Amino acid sequence: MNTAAKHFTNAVSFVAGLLLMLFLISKAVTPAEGTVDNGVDSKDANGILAEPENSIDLLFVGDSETYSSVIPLELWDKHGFTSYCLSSSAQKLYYAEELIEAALSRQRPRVVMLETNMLFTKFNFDDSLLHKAGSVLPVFKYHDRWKVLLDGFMGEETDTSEESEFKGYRLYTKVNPADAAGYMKPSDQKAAIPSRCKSYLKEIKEYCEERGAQFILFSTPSTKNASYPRHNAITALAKQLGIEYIDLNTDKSIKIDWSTDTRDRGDHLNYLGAAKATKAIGEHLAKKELLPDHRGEEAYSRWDELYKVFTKKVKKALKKAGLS
Amino acid sequence: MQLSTLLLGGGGKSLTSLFSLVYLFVFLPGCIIVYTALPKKCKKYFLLLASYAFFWLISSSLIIYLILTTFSAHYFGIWLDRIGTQMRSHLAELPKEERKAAKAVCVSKQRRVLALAVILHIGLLLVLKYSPFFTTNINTLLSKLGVSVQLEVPAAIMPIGISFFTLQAVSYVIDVCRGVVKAEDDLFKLALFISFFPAIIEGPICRYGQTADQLWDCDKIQYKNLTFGIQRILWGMLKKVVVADRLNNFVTTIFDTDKDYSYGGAIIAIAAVLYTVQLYMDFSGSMDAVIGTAEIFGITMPENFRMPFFSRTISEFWQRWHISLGAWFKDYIFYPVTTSKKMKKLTSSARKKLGSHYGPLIAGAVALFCVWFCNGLWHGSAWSFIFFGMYHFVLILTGNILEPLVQAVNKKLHINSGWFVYRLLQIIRTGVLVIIGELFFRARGLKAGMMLFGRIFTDQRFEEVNEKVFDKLRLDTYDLIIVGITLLIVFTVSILNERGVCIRESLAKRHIALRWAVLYGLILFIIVFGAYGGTYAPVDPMYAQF
Repeated sequence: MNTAAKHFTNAVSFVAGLLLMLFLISKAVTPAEGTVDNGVDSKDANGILAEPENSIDLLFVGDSETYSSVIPLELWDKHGFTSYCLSSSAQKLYYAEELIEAALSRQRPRVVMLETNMLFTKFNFDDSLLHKAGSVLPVFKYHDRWKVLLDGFMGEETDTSEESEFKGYRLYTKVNPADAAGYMKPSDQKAAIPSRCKSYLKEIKEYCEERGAQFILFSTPSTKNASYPRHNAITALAKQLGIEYIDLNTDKSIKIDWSTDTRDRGDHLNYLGAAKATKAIGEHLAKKELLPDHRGEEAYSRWDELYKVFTKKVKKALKKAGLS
Repeated sequence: MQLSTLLLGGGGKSLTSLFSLVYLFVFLPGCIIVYTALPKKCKKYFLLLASYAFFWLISSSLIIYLILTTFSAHYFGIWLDRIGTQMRSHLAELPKEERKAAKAVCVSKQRRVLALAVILHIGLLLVLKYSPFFTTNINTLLSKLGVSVQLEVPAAIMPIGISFFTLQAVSYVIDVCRGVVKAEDDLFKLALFISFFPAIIEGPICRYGQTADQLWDCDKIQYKNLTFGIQRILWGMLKKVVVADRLNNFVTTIFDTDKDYSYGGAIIAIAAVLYTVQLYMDFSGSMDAVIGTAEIFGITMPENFRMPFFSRTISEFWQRWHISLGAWFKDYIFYPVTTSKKMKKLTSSARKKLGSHYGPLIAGAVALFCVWFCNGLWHGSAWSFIFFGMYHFVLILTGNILEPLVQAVNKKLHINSGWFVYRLLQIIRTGVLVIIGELFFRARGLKAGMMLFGRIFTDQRFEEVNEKVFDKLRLDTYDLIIVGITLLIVFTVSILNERGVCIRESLAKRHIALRWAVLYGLILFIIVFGAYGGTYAPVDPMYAQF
């Protein structure tokens, strides 16, 4: 064998050995299907996997704007809707797609609502490539699970079937007022939505509709992220794709008080703001009669228990923050 | 869909890191395959084409500035060379007594041309990089003076790597003027020297004499170069992906996201340490990728780091950290200032009055001030960067002034400066001073830097240093363990390198099973313990923004 052929054989053998090892490690780190641990990086969002099958009628998908603005347990109390926030910090659309796919493997929601801030979150070719690599060799997706495995080894394993007590919502009561002087200043301009985001949106919409869920876009109130150019761009895209779009930033009836309803100068809402935004979403959905009211049904009694716990925690947190 | 849209749909970030998947699995292998397939005479042109394609992919139409810089450097080089040639032939024809005056005329002409070249190149850099900074400061000044006129602040248009390729171009022109290198007739050769793709984002800042011939004298890729180059890239990846990216969430939260600066001094001090580690791991890791990539093509690039945290003084630190930038400032600012006629005269008179140590320090201080003012400004257009430069200027100057006193005290107290404990204390002191400097460097402005620094002493809140807060800052115990293990590996290898042991050479001599085991271990360590995907936010190459 000449030197070149020897080098080539060595290289091929090396890569084959590496792939085999990656395959074996993938087996070791991939969590059992249907566990919260299935997405170690966003436990709250993956709490959906701990929900009883086919019990969630409404899914909210998005980044931190979603888990700061939508309170599923308030929707339960006011309308009897069973909903869940599939949201994680700085969520990108490719991850949203993955979360929706995981959720829809156990749930048959009637409505999926996607928060629009993600449409403007750029991600590059690398992110998509890594995402695809993770579906072939799961070690690229679950590599960080070594921490969970080590916890188990050390006898501190987390409960992988743990539900999210607030159904994906995160309670914040801190008040940090926003300067809303330039908030939603009228404009005819259109913000640019990255082409890669548009393609993912189309894919997600089709996936949801194929599974019988109505797909809706919604924008939560935010002085930092919302603007008329964005509103115009989303309105045009929603029209083009035949999607309903609800922009809470243009809905004057919500009456967000930017001196009290935000926790970080208008970027995200706190509980006070989230309660207003949730009320508006609930009323809108109730008007459309898209979702059933499960209150009083024995199978959903757990929601009443969780709501009681939630209200107690909210009261305590508001008191601590000096808001009650 | 345009290629640039495909690769750069996320705002151009796919290729700005030499650790991006697009670079490692598409661009670089593509270059290696095409380079190998081409005949020898075409290889250099292909490298040039690849470099321009790379730059176009990351900077799009801003490539025009790279082209302009190259044309300008080429033209000025030839002009300066021609003046020199004409001068030599002219002087040869003149009688000896007239030569001095004629030479002075030619040298003066050469200097004027050189000044024009430097003004044009640095001027372009100043306009592109510093216009918003200058305009904002002029507006502030005007408003303080009660003038109602306000200038429009221009949008920053800065091609990635302009601070690096501009300095390379300027060094080439000055070297031609000094006669260190001959002006290059071949525009393509000069273009490749200025634009070679791995080094265009973050350097190192090469001299024409260091890399131009190597780049132009392309040979086929050797198996050893290929494997060694890949190993060096993997080494850089370990630093960047496992450590630098892992620390990013913590550092970003403290310096950027936590706009109210709600954390106490203890956490801020930890963040300053971690940022310094992150910066070193990011930048030196990127340099490993640059040098490794070049090595694949048989090109030896200059090293940019040499165990900087083993430095005993700040001055030594800057001889070990970003070596190519320090050397550039030394050769093209420090020496010209100290050797200028006025400074020589000043040194001469000061030496008589102040002695042989303090006398030359005056001219040295002037030159040092120029170097550190430029160094600070080079890093960014903000007062915090100028402060960063002045901070190091003061530290180095103070070190120089106090040196005789320290030596005298040591002698008096019978302290041997070679003692391990003494050296260790010097290393720790230098490390602390560097970390303080980096805190100001990283803070969002000078005011924020002052506030953060002040809090370290006034509001420590040591109770915050607990697992819960670290978890909140997304740096749990496991992360710290991985960072610790990786730093230990890097530290051990650095010491071996410092002692002249080449790990790759000695590994290459071992049995294939051991070689593969080490490589598999390295690759799997990066894949399993790397901070990517999920909620990790990989840091963009930190020096690409400068």
